[in-house]
Amino acid sequence: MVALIFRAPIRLTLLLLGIAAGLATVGPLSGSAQEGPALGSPKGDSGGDSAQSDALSPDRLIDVPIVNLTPGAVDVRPKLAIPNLDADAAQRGLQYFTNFNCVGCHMPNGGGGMGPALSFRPFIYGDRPENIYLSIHQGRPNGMPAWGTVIPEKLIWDIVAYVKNLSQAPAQEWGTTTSKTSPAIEQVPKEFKPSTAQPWNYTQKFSSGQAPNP
Amino acid sequence: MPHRVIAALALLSVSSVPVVAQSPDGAAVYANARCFACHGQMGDGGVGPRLAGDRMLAISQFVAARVLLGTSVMPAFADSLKDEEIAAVATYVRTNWGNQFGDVSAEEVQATRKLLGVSEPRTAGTK
Amino acid sequence: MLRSLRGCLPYAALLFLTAPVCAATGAPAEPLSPSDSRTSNGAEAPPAIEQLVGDKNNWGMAAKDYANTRYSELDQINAANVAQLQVAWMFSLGAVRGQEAAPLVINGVVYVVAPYAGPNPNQVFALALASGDLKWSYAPKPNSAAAGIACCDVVSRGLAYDKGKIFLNTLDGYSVALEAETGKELWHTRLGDINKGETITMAPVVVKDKVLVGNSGGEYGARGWLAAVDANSGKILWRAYSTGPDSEVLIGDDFKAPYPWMSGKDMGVQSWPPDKWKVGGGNAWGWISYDPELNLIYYGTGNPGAWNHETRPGDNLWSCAIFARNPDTGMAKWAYQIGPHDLWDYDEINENILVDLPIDNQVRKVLIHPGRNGYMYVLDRATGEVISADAFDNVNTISSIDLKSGRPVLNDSLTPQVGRTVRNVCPASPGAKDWQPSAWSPRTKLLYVPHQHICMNFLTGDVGYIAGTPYVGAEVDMFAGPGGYRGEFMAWDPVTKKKVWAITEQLPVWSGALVTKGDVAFYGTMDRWFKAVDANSGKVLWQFRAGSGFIGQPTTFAGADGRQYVAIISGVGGWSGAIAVAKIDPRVRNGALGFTGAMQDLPAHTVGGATLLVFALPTNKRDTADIAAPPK
Repeated sequence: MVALIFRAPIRLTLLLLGIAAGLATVGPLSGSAQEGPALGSPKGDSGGDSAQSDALSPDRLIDVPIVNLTPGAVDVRPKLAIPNLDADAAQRGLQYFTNFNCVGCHMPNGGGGMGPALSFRPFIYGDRPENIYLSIHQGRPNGMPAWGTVIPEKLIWDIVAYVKNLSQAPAQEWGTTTSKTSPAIEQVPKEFKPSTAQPWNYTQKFSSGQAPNP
Repeated sequence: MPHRVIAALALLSVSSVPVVAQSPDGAAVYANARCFACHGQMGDGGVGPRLAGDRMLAISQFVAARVLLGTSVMPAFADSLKDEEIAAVATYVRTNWGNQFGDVSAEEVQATRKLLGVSEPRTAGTK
Repeated sequence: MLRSLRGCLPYAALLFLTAPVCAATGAPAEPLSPSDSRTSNGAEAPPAIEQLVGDKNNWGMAAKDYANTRYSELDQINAANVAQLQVAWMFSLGAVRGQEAAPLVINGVVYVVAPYAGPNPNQVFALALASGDLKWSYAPKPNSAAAGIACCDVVSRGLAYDKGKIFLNTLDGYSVALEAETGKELWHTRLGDINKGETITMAPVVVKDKVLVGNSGGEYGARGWLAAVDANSGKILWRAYSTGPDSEVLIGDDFKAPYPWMSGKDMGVQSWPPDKWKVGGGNAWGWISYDPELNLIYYGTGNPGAWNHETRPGDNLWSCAIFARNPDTGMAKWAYQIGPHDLWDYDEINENILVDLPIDNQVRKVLIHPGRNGYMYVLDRATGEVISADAFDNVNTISSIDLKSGRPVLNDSLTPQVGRTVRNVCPASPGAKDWQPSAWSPRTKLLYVPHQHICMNFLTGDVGYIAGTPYVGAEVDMFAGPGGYRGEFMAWDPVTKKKVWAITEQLPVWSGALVTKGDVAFYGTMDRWFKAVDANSGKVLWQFRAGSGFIGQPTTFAGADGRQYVAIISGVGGWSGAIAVAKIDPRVRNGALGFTGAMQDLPAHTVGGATLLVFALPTNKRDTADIAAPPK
């Protein structure tokens, strides 16, 4: 609202100052991500609210590597203040996962289909929250669309919260053995339990292609 | 107010056509303002409610107010869309997907702005 | 070219005679002598597809001939000696995803196309049949994002050939022509847009110098079409949509619907809620047959967009329908909708095999269409009228086909409803049979049908359309059908409408079929067996364990060396096998549009491959130098 009073050049200066301020003081974002009324317009709107999200503004996220290979063998990963990705966020993310058709390619509970499974790691473009955020925002080769100009930033973080849960399978081994007896468990299929943001909490004996035990 | 004059001059200098502006294409506004992301490209809804067959859309002032103010989930477009653009997209959602609720004029949008006490947009159009 | 062959009715000959008796120039008199396509002045003109369909030594189109019989007149390999079949040579295509392509052979050169994967997606290879030498390869310009728009693995079902040109469809929507001799690119034409969810996986078919191409994308709400591209220039001559107004579906005064419920103006609009036909699917991603006497092409259309039927009340014409069209203009002569208001994703793109059958003391010109819905249809191919429709597998969604109205009689208790899981639906969405093509033997008068035996649980949900993203609205969970087996290779008699014999397999039989004059039928299993069975009894006579499971199409042809060869590409994938080649989790049953549930043990049997296998009987000489000799 404050920005409405100013003319364009002054508003731009404020914007830049806001970003600079954010760079200097990394951290105090978590509060603003949880409160706030409207979700805000998708990125690209030059409204005056950018100062809120400066710790996650594009010029920091752009520092996030999507591979585990950094020349010099030094960890230069930026310290980011990720929004709180709690159970409520994951529940909203479950809804958006359907509404934006993520489920169409990645399938219920992230089982994989047209798009790769999200139910086990590693994710090829990184599985930290900021990696997942960027994969959704930017798109990825081989078919992941770029959603950043379509879905508001806050909603993408909710989807990230949900996607993180999808790969929380009970740890069996470091690698994956496949045989007549392995895997031994499967998830309870989606049609037999209410929609959940924690699908790995519900497992049953592996059915080997036969009808699942309801 | 000085900024209104500047805004008006900016509009005039940007446009290379006569002052009577062409009406924007409602489908284009629906796409560029990303309405489709939440309401679907066939008005089926998603994050946002279904628009195809929604009888509330019959009330033109309601549609204008929604777009201007948003809701707790829907963004407000008062700042980023001009009256002509809001009129165009309101007409678009009211006359597609089986909806036959008729046009909405820029004047109606303007009147709704006044009623709600919402100012003119600062920017000259959608991204 | 076609006129000169009229006198010998090559198409009828295939059905009733063991050797075509032709007055055409250069017809082979001896078995296995090489095709001789000399023109009257002696110069070698590249053969036309109209010649090749009647030429037993070559395999000029994926379905063998315009009737789509997949029957070969070659009998050097026969039931008595097929047990001796062995590998002549192999070739790796390098792209490890589902291998569905049919190997073509024209005058001693093998042509195959790889899936849309690896450094050279949809790479085309030309190999010398005698030696297996690679003559040339061609890689179209890739668009990697297309891989995310392919519902069911990034497959290609094969190439087409006519008069010295090879025709290719790329996954990202291009039709391409290559010079068959050199691999040089002649033209490329963009037909589809991945941003609308369109891809192309089908094998094109050339009819009268027109390359017929149809799109995929029913899971993306991509509006379906069949296009004719000029073989010489690459220009689009006509495009017939599967939904929308008559002017776009190319329905005119010449059109006659076989049943009254399909008659009327603009039924492709009227049978949908407002505007929904624009995202209506009906994609022509399967097989095309052609009757030159009636001058009609036949093909089927896929499922309507979205799978959740509550988004589209109405019959949803012309999805799940068989079209008969004039290939010159594209105008429809008739259309029969097998699945009005589809509830289950029962695409009806399966093959339409053109046969003349004795029915009720009359010889009828029919087409046999193994329905996705589990019913074997016999239609009058001049009018589209249903002569018979009988279940060939376990079906509980449809209790019968009403021959009077032409409509399926549905089991209403299984109708999906948003939020309510429907259980034990048979057949599952891939149907009792999917795209994998069957073969017809005019000797045994049997249809050899590879297919699956699976059921599913089905839960629909709300879905909104966003272009370029899936438009499905259903959560599916498939599993083995009654009996616990998931596949079958059967011989079906379309006159008695009965299964004559069947071989059950633990996994779906997702490969195509081939049958020969030697009375041998061939098919491949997803657990890596390529089998030859006695066409009369179904006894397995020979089998070979390949590197990866089979989902491809076996073909057979002869070389200048006088040997008959059988070829198929090994490499599991496709909708059923994607779990073994893509990052899909076997522990999450609803993956792969529900197929994970039925195939979650597949990775314990096989992973991906990319090998063209060429088999032949052993030569008489112990020395195998003949095979390695350079081509003439």
